[in-house]
Amino acid sequence: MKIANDHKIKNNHYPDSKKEFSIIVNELYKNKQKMIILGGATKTQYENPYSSVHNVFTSELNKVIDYNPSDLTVTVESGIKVESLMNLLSENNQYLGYILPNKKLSSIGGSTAYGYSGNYRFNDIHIRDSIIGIEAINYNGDFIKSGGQVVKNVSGYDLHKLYIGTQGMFGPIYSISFKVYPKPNYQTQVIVGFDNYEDVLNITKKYLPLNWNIPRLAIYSSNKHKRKLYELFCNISGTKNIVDYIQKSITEDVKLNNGNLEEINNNTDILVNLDDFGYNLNDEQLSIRILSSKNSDFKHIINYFENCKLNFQFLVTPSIGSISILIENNDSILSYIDEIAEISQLNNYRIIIDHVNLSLQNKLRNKFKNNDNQPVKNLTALLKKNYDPQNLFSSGKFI
Amino acid sequence: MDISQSLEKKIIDIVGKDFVVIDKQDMVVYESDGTHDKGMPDFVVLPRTTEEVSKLVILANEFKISIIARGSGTGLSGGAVPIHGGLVISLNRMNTIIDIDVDSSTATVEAGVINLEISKKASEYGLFYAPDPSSQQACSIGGNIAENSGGPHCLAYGVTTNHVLAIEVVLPNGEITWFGDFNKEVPGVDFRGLFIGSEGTFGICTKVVVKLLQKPQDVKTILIAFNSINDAANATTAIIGAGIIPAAIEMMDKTASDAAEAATNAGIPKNSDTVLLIEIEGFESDINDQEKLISDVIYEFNPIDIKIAKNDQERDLFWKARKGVLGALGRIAPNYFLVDGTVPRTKLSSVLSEVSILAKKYNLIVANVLHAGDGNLHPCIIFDQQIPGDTEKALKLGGDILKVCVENGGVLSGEHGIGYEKRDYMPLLFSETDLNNMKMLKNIFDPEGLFNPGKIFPVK
Repeated sequence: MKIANDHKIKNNHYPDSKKEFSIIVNELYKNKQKMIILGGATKTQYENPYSSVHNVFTSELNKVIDYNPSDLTVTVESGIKVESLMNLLSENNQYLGYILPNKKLSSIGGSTAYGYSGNYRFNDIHIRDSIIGIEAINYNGDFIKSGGQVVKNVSGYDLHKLYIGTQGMFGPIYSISFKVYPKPNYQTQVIVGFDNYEDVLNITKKYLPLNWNIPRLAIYSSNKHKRKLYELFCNISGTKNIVDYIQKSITEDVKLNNGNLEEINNNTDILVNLDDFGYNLNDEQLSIRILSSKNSDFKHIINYFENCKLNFQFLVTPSIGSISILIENNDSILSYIDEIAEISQLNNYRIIIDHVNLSLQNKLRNKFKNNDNQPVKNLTALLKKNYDPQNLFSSGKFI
Repeated sequence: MDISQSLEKKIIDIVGKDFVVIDKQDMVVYESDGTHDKGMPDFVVLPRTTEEVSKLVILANEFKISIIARGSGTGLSGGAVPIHGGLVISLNRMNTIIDIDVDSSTATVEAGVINLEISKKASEYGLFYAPDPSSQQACSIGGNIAENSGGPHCLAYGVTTNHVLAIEVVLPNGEITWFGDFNKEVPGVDFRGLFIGSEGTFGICTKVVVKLLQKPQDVKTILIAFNSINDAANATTAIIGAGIIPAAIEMMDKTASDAAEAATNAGIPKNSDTVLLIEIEGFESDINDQEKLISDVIYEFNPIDIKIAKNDQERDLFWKARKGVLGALGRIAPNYFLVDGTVPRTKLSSVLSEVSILAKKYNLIVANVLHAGDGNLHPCIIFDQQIPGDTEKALKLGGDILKVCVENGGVLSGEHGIGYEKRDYMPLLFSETDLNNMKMLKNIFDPEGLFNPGKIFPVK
């Protein structure tokens, strides 16, 4: 077992093989040691400094286990960086169908554990749809396989769903298999400015159903170009004919809806102007995500924030039903918490506050309680009890 | 009054006597699904509401009687067969399309709604529900949830789990709850994803919220004939490998396509060995580009005939031939056993060769029907159960084909589920640890083990 003390934090472990990973997990579990599995460790700035628990880093588990481009599937170890996987797929003109945020730092395992999918998504694909198999480690150090390396599979329970978006609470992920897609052969990005939020909504409503050819429709407050109050980023992909057709249609609609065509980037890479809005924050910044359980335009939230004295930017992704709000002075949010919670409650919004320092997070969590129903809470607790009887894996999540 | 009479009275109290099947003769329709497996239920009940389902589940707990939820009974894994008897809860009366929300592109429906009815209703708004099992004119959405069903167009669109946002379920203790959300970003356990495909062993799904897609502007359906099954399989791999994902790539070998042609007169070339049915969808200009790309790719695999459906009627006829092929095989022999393995696409050709060798070894006819684009094989073993030993031979051949699939990196079932039929093959794919973890999950949902017993887990 490798134990390194070169970080500020003690009890760091860096398994570099499948076998070693299982031995470390088993040893720690047998000795009743709490553990956190860390991929790119991009969350450490917001959460527990982990000095009191064992940190098992997957950074050395970064191999591609199986990749045959003609099968459109890939299996990788969980510690591989998002960017490495994207580059590998890109060499074969393929991609995951979505662009995971924070690609330089984040690992595939971490992105899976947090259920991230970013705001660029071909055909509305979420990471939950694209993972076809997972090999995880249980508390005995045994490997548990679920799913496989084929794109269509109903053999047994989809146990791998347990590990997606649950932040490691059921144990570590060793490897992940993905369904992948051919990259679109032509892409254009259109950026349009608007002074009126209703106008930008008119455009997004019309083009939202075309997620096959428009993988990203993102509305930003005008932090980027500052020409108009709102900016719509529209990525169009497909064959050149179809991209040209949709682009022409959008530019005509922009005129009818008082928009100002600011930029057209022809034949771009899918990554052009894709940012990591809401990630990699400095100490003064706070990011909250609000999710709608219906197809919301978030007008209530935007109106509220625009009338507050907060220094903020936002990103609305209508296809996902989310708004991310980036606030510059994070303590300033405290004066507004109650009202934001009330608006969210009234509109049945859910609030995710994982990009916040720990003390503020605790204050906010008490205010922004999401109302899971009781059977779901009971089942979650039972799952945790069975898959982690000593409560040693990422304890404190969701229960 | 004995226990059985007491239970019967209480069931009648919940749903009314018109909706309880008591006569054993009437129960015969509930003893099997689309497979040859059989089991006679003790009671059959047809509730109308979720609350009635919940009361029935609570009652079953009280009497410790097993519960088998049933949709239309079109399943192909013995999943809805009450092999140990018990209470069959048929959801056919829960067949209301509750709401089509055009703004959100969603439909909320009861579990007994027929799959195709959702698309029919949604088409009034230019929308459709993508997963389209071959039985979509008869199968229910609740059954699709239980099996995580696929269909020909899942190549491009994905399977049931990719199109279901939320489900109302009655848990094994009778509690009613919702799993899932419009928003897939919601962190925490994805109970919706866990439940879909759990084959009725975690509870009963009573309502479903599905995603609807915008109907494509244009569709083109192409029938391509080849001289050999290997050419057709390799052409499929090459099309996908070239970065083209059509809406569907279906394959029928000579046995299957001859039977389909005899039944439908769809125009399948008589001199072909294997045909591919390819459908491309989208904007008109996009479709023309895709068609050209596909033509370029398949050229090197020696296609002997290419037919493009000239109109909707011809397109429907091509699909009638494909979707009706299982019935058409009845012209060859009265019984069939349908295998449902999936392999990586690049292994299609070699696996089909091994299937052919096995068929010769067992001296049985196998008609190959495939969702080829997904690598999902349906070798259809044709036999006559009146011939002594043929049923056993067919089942053994099916098992050997599944072994070949697993040996080639594949799995036991692509879309029909494990059910009763394939449960004893599970150790081919999963270790004891894997299976124990699945059992743990089952036990968390259903500690009394009352829901659909005898399914999924091996007994041998």
